[in-house]
Amino acid sequence: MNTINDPRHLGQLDPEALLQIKNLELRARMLVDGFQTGLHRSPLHGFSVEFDEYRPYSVGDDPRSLDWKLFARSDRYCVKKYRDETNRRCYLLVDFSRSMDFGSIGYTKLQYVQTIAATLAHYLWRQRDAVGLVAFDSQVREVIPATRRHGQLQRIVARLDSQASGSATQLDLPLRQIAETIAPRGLIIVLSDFLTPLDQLELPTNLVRARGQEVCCIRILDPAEQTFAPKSAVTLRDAETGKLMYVDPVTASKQYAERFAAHRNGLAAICESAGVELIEWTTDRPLRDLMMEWLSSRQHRIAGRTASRASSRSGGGAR
Amino acid sequence: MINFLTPLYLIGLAALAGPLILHLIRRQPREDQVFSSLMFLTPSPRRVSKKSRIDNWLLLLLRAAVLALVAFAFARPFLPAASDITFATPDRFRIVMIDQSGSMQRDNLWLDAIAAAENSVNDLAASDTICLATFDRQAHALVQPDLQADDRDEGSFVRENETKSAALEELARLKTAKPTWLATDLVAAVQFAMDQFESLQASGRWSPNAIAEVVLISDLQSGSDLQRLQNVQWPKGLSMNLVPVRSNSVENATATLLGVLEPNDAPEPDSAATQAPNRDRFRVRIDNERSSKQSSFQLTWVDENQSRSEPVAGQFAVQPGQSRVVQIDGPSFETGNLLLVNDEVAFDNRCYFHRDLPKKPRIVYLTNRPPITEQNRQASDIGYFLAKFASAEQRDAPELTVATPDQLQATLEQTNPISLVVANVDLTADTVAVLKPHIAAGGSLLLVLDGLPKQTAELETWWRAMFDDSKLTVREKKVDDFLLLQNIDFNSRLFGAFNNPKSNNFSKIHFWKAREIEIDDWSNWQRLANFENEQPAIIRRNVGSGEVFVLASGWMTDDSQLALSTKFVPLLINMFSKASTGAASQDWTIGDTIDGAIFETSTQVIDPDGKSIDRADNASFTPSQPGVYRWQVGEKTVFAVANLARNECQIEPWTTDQFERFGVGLKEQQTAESLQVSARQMQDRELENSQQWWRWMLLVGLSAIVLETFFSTRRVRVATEPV
Repeated sequence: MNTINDPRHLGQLDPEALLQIKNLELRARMLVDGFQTGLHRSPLHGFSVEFDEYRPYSVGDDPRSLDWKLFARSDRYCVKKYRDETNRRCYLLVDFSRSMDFGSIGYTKLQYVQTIAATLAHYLWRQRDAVGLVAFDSQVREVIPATRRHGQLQRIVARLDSQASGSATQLDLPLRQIAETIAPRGLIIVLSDFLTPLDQLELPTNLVRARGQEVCCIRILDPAEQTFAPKSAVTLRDAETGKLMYVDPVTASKQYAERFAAHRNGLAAICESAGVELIEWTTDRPLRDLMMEWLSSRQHRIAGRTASRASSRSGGGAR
Repeated sequence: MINFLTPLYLIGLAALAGPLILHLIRRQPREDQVFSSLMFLTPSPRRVSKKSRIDNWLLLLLRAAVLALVAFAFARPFLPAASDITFATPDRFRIVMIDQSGSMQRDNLWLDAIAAAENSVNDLAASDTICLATFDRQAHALVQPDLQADDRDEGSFVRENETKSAALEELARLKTAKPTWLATDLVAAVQFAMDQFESLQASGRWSPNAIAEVVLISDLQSGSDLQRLQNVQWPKGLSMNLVPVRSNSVENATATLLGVLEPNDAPEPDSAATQAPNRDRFRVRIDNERSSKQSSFQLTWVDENQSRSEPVAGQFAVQPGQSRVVQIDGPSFETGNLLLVNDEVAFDNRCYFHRDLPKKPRIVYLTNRPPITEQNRQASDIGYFLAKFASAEQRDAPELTVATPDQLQATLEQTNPISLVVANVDLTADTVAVLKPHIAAGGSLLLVLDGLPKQTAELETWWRAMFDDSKLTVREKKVDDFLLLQNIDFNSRLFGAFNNPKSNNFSKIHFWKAREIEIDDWSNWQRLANFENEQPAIIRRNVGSGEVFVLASGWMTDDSQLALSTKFVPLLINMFSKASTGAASQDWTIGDTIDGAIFETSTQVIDPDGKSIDRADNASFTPSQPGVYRWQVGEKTVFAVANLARNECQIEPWTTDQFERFGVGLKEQQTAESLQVSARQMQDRELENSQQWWRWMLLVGLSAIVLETFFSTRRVRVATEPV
């Protein structure tokens, strides 16, 4: 069997090969096709809704929603309640700052993020979720509100397919805006390199969480950023501010490693404390793996949440 | 010691800096890498590396050598060897022309010009030849080489090798002299210089190596016309060097008197001055030069002795480059000048004039009849209409004096000059003694036969005494109806004014009474008009320089209609006009040749300074300075004014390219130094030409390029070869 023609293998392609496809929408669709095909080994029948809990029947409830099997087992009238996930509002917060325009392995972080964002949008769209987009750099550049209107996907992809612009990464601004404007209990996926001072992150993350949003941060880094090791003495130019800095390789890489680790730990701590999911990913790894990672972490969370809810309820029932 | 023929090319050595800098620049690393964020980095101190180190010394040297060799080759180096080639400075023939026209009177121009000429002469060697001349309307040779070498001792010719000293002497003399008042003719000067050059060539003393040049020292004023240069073929081998002498002020304006206005000329509306009642009016043109900054002028009349001045009221605005004609009131004196007041350049600001102030003609009516009263006004006395004429409101109206024969002597002496004596028929013989000398001196007499004398013998006696040679018989003429004038001599002065179809009709003048005149000898008499029957009506003869008219009738209404006619007054005026018409003042331009005839018998002319100039009979005369000239003709003084030539007042200078346009070969003056320099240059060129180092240098330079190409390609190959 030709692996190339099998959509299941598409997502496992070398990201460099995948990113050769110029059309972002096509790229995202191919990726999501292969990914979904792998995901759903058995077709899912029934509703795209998730069972939530039983409730005692009361007069006025629709008799159709009575669970007769439970009645047969326990001789009690219970109504099955479903959790409706289809109308969930998902926002993709995509960082378009100039630092994203850096790439040491043939493509930039932004290209990677664009593909990921488009793929996520497709995936969520197919899940019947309302998808929106917030493009930001040093300020919020554009907000596409999450709807399920016709052409929404094309709008999002068109906006994603643009150049980096801003001179700084300011995560707090879009987060605050999201917290203030979006209805609660949505899903927010932040796609950024998080190369920004941490102190401005803590408060808005908490704010967003307090509004009941589920937040997932996907941190995309270039391999060269993770391990900074210049071969010779260079003058570096900051992609965002244009500042020049002469760097000596020996002292700099060590110092970089220390500071970077500190920053990473700080970020992890903030996310941890706010209950935000954080996935750190480098651009040399396959895109499909990132999707799988994200999905599995989500399923873990849902499972964890349901488990915790179940345990809290059972605990409550014991009382 | 190496010399260079064209050392300026050595500036090209500066190009050596090019490869040097390029070799240094290549060492500077410019590894400027973009990184996403510098937030985890701190700047490291720069390591000091030896940036000024130069590698590839061989290439650098080769490249520098190529540039240096090319620069040296272009500079044409040579070794100053003791060469047997020597170049002597050539002979020079220099014609120095100094402008001595009127415009050189300005400021210091004249002394500047002499100084320039001295420089030019001093620059020459004693063996060089000089021709020195001044020019105005024409050229005047002061020093000329005697090319025929026949030791002519006449005029300005001196021996060829003595011209320099002679020229210096002449210049020293010129310093004390003054420029003339004459106009400038640059073309005449150019022509003179060319003639000199041609005579030099013709003399066979001219070799093509020699240098012939004209040094023209002038203010080059544009008043001098250059158009005639078109007809001049500039000779080969002669070069012209213009030495302009400049004055600080080139703003100039001129006032020119255009003449006296006739009284019936309507005053122009823009005439600034108000018309004074008893003044004649002048028309004046004010020209303002283009370069002038002044545009408002005042005029003042100044009399001959500079003692009185009468400012003309008002300012006259004339824009630069324009002319304007204005009318102004004349002065109260007869001779003087009109001064243009606020003009910087003074030499041409005076315009001289002379005119006879209008005088009232005087008529003496000689009679022994009782005075005219209102009662006898219709009576047959000609005095009545004379009185009418005298009291008329007219410019030419005469002043009338009535005198008896006894008073005549006193009257004539008192009121001199008398224009006309009118006598009626009652003449007594004793008046002849008074009248005859008066007429002979230029007076006029009109004898009116207004009737028959009581004693015909008395008139006849008078006649014989008066004219000596003739006898008169007067008879009353029998007239049937009336008589008319005919055979009128319209060429005569008396009737000349009527010689046109509008006014030559005398048929309305009827004569009812007339006298028949019989004279035994008509040869001295001129008949101006006859009656119909061929009898003379008006006759005339000269007595001395005066004249006598006889009218064979009267003009009272009893005799004729003459006094009532419009012709009466003009006729009378024409009779006495001779007395007031002195010769009109002459207008001369300085430098004009005046025909000797106008001086008549006078042998002396008094110039404006008051000095008298003797002149030979019929010899022409040339006025040399502005002002009023005068001379005596008989008892009369005749005036002439000499003014500057109009074009001499245009002092804006020509530019040198105007000369070039006409093909004049302009060239800088070749001084002794410049000649030496050019001789040395010629020698150098010859030496360089014999050595020809530059070819070798270019050859070496080219081989250096080949080597450089070889080495650099090898180096690149080594650098790019995979390890």
